[in-house]
Amino acid sequence: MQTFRLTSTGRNILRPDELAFQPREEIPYKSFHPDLQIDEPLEILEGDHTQYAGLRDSLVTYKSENSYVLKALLNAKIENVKPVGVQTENINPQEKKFGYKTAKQLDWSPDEYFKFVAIHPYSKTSFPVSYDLDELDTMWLTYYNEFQLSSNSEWENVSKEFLEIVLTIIEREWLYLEAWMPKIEPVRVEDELDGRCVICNEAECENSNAIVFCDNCNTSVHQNCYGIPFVPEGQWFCKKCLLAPHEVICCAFCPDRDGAFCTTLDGRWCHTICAIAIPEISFHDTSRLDLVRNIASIPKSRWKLVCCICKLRWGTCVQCSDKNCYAAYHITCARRAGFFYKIYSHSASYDSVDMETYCDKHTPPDYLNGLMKRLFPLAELYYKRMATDVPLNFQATKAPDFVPEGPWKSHPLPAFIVDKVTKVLLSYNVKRQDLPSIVTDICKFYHMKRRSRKDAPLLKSQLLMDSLENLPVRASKDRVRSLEVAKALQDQYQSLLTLVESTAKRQLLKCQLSNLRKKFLNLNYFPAQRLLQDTLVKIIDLDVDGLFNMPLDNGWIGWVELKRQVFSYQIGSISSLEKKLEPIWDVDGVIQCIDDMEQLTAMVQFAQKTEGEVKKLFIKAKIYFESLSLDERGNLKVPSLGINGLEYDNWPGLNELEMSQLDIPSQGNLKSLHDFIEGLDLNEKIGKFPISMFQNQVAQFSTIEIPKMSGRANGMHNFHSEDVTGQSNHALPNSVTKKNGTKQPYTKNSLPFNERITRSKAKKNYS
Amino acid sequence: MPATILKSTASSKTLLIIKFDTNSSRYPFYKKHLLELNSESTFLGLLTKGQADTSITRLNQDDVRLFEKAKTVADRTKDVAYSFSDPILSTQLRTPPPQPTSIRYLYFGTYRIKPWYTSPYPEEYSCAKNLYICESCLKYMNSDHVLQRHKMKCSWSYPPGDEIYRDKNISIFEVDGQRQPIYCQNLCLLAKMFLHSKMLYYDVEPFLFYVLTEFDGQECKVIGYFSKEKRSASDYNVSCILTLPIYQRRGYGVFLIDFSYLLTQVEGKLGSPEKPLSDLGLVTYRSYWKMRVAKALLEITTPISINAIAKSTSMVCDDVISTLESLSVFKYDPLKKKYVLQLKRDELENVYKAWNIKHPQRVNPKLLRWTPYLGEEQISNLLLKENILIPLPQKRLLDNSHHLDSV
Repeated sequence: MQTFRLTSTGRNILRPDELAFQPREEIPYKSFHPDLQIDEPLEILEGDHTQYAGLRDSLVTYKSENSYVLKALLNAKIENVKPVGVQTENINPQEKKFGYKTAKQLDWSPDEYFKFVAIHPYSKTSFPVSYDLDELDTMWLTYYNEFQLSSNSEWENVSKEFLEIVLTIIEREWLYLEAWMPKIEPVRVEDELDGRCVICNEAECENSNAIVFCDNCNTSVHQNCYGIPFVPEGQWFCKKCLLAPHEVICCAFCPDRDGAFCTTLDGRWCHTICAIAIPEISFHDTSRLDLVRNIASIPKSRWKLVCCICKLRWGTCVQCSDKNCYAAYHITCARRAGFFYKIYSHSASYDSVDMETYCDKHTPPDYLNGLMKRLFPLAELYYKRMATDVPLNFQATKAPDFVPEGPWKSHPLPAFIVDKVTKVLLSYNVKRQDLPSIVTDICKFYHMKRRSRKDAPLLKSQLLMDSLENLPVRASKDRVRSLEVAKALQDQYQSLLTLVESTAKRQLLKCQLSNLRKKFLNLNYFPAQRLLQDTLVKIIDLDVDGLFNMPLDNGWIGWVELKRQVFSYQIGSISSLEKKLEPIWDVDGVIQCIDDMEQLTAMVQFAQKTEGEVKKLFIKAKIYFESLSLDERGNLKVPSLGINGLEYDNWPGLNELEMSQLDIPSQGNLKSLHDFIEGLDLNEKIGKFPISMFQNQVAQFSTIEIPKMSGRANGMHNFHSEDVTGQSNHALPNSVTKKNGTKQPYTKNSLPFNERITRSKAKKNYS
Repeated sequence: MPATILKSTASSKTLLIIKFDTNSSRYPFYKKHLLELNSESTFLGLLTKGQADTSITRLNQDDVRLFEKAKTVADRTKDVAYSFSDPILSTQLRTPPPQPTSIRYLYFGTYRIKPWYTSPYPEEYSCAKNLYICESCLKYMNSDHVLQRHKMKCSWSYPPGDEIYRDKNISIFEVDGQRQPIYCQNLCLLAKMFLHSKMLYYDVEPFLFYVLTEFDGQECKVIGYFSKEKRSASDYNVSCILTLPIYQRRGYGVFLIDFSYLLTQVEGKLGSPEKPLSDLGLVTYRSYWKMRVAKALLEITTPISINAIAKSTSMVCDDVISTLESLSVFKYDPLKKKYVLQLKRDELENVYKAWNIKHPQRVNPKLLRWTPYLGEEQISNLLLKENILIPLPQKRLLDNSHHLDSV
């Protein structure tokens, strides 16, 4: 509909050049007479009209006759031809009753209007034949009769009418059987993009441009987008499912494995959408949109673009239509990620295409109701997985030369149909000696014919369609039983699902439990460990510049190594840690090791500055350590808390059943356990040690039983060995076993710093 | 658990693989029925094994040989040897196969007509050299052989609908697109060959088809038709109208238009054809409207509004005004800013008489036996009007708030 621009006065401006394409009758009157009131009576003038001096035609600006010129009307070219002769006299009366025309005329009385009453299609004595033989059927019948006659001289020819009758019945019975068959469709994950054309991403379709679904992979495409001149009556398959239904193929221009494919002139696979979107290439076969050509003319720069969605170096990308945006992506990736794209083609063959597409930043936020937000991460995940699943390779882009037999399904007719047809024929009094064998042969013919028609039905009849609607439900015993089975199976499947869920839940709880137990054991058997770690971290934090990171010749092993040793349980007591730190305070040693004056000054200054502080830390730690109540083996004393005590706590979600399987602890146990858990450091590093070491350790304290430890511990072992590589076979260091190591007296260097420096320098000079 | 689920893969069509516990007491039950249920060999459990047996219809060499022989001979009679919709054709040939050609001749009864436009018949028929249409049931065929076989048993002697109008040998049948989809689809496909812009072919359910026929002593032959939406949102009383080329220029088109306005009049509505109109349709409608409005104007003496004219002619106001313009009756005085009707009675009379001479075949409202199509909604409206249904009292939302205020 034409739109008219309004000026400031409100009057429409009519532009003849715009209106020339539209007849006056198709434009609403408001465009011409905006102030006309249709309910107001209009005065009628006849003859003179002196009171209206300025009267003129109401339609000044628009002359309908001039503006809209009718094209020359078509003249129909009609010739008379001889009507088709119809002879029904010679038909066998046995067969003639099946609706073959008799000379009966229409009862036409001038006063009685016809009323259409749908007749019951299948009465007991006859039914209307609806199948009409074509050339193929007639030829086959001729050859069939000849063939039978050659082997059997008494063969009675099968008539055309007989074939028509039998084919009608077969079609009917087959249709009924299909209608009765339960519809089983594979469950698909419903997606917002489902049902949209995979090429133009539009869901709308019209009569002449329908969306067609592949009967194998369910890919949906518009007729015009994929080049389907005619939608077949039977099944339809996309090119991929026709040529290589079971193979994993690759598009030559993008990494996507799904979608509507076509082939290139040099025999490779390619998405139709890729061929449309990449401006350099075009279709050779323009009506079927196949045979992509001009691939060589794609510039190298396009091949080099890296897609921002899949991040794969494969194929050619397009770029965002925003002037200042250089984002590149494959068009199929863009569809998967919900980016905006629209194809404007100037011709049906997609020779010259304008394409508008926007990247994630420039896609309008309301495009597809903001679907991009959800689809974009999914698309990234898809390509990430695909890259590892089945990597892209050039071999897979090759389209097969040899075309295997099509995937059209057609089922040979079962004995049921043959029996049924024979029975129906007999019930209509069609008698023949060799009826079953003829019916079987016609059934075979039906099968072959249907296969050659890609499983399209042979007959399209209103009567059949009507009778299908009133088809009784065939509730046989078998079906009822099958339903029972299906229901039982569904129930069991449900309970299986519940079981799997609760198992997963239990395992999660068990995992948490063993983590806790690990922490507890850690604390129990290595009471000083956490103290050591905390103290060391505090000391390392003092060395902000990392002066002592590296090992020195005077015995200093460096922060990194020291930290590793502490965290891998190689240092068992506070005093041994103190001992390890001693080389730092040993200024002379440091001086001898370091050449760089500046660094040396910094290091010595650091040592002097922090010595006191570190000492304080150690004293604090020792006091704290002594405050812990240890038993005679140096383990932490936990009042009557067995290892099993850690099995419970009020875990959320732990059900009654699970609880009952565990021993119930006393209130005191629970409380002390609770206190312990409260006091635990959640540092992940705790307990990360090879379990073999742990077991050695345990073996020494043979009086303590550790039940069910090995099984779970193995898991921890694996977990650990990833972190501390090369440590798993390490022998347990001595320091751990020497729990009650003697306290090392703290030696303090009394010489002032400057003096020491000068002395050591002098030493160096001499040497 | 008698059954355990082994795996489900998204890629294959198999959703679940179920492993049965052979020690379970229910195992025989499962094995027997479930496995049969899922197999295609028994038609998903519909038939027993014996019934589903296909061994007797298995093809042997002789069968295939006979069929192939017949097929090659039969294909020779056809113009096209391959299927255009075969998508792998170009891949196989490595070069574009020839373009499909459109139907050259349409055989309709005793006539051979050259179609004007292409119609979306299925491929088998669209690519055929000639298209044969049975004039009784409008079935389309691609060879005279099939037509001959068809004619032997086609027993239809009138369209599959109720006759609602009969004047001598001219009848109009009302065919419901929902009850006779195949006939209506065939009618639409046939019409498309003579109409340039027509969008309706297969979704015929929401339409009623009014088929004009002529009784020739044996059967009622289709002359033309118009289709009408059962429920139109925009006053359309005709969505598609056609007289078959064989019967064109005999006034049948005008007859159908006149009839469509008669139906609209009975319904008590205003109607207009669905736009855009074809060239031929526009010419016909213009002349019809002129006659209609001229007749209405000749009857008036007192000032009359556009709406009143529309009601008396059952035409929508847009059509009335455009016709008044083309009759040069509708005038405007820019000084007084007033529209008037300037009648020249003799001219109008000429228009009316000339049209009547040209179109002797007129619709006689007395011969119509018809009740308007009623949808569910209309029926309930009718019942409400007749006080058979009492409308439910609507709840007032304001009542509550009043209550709150007073408290």
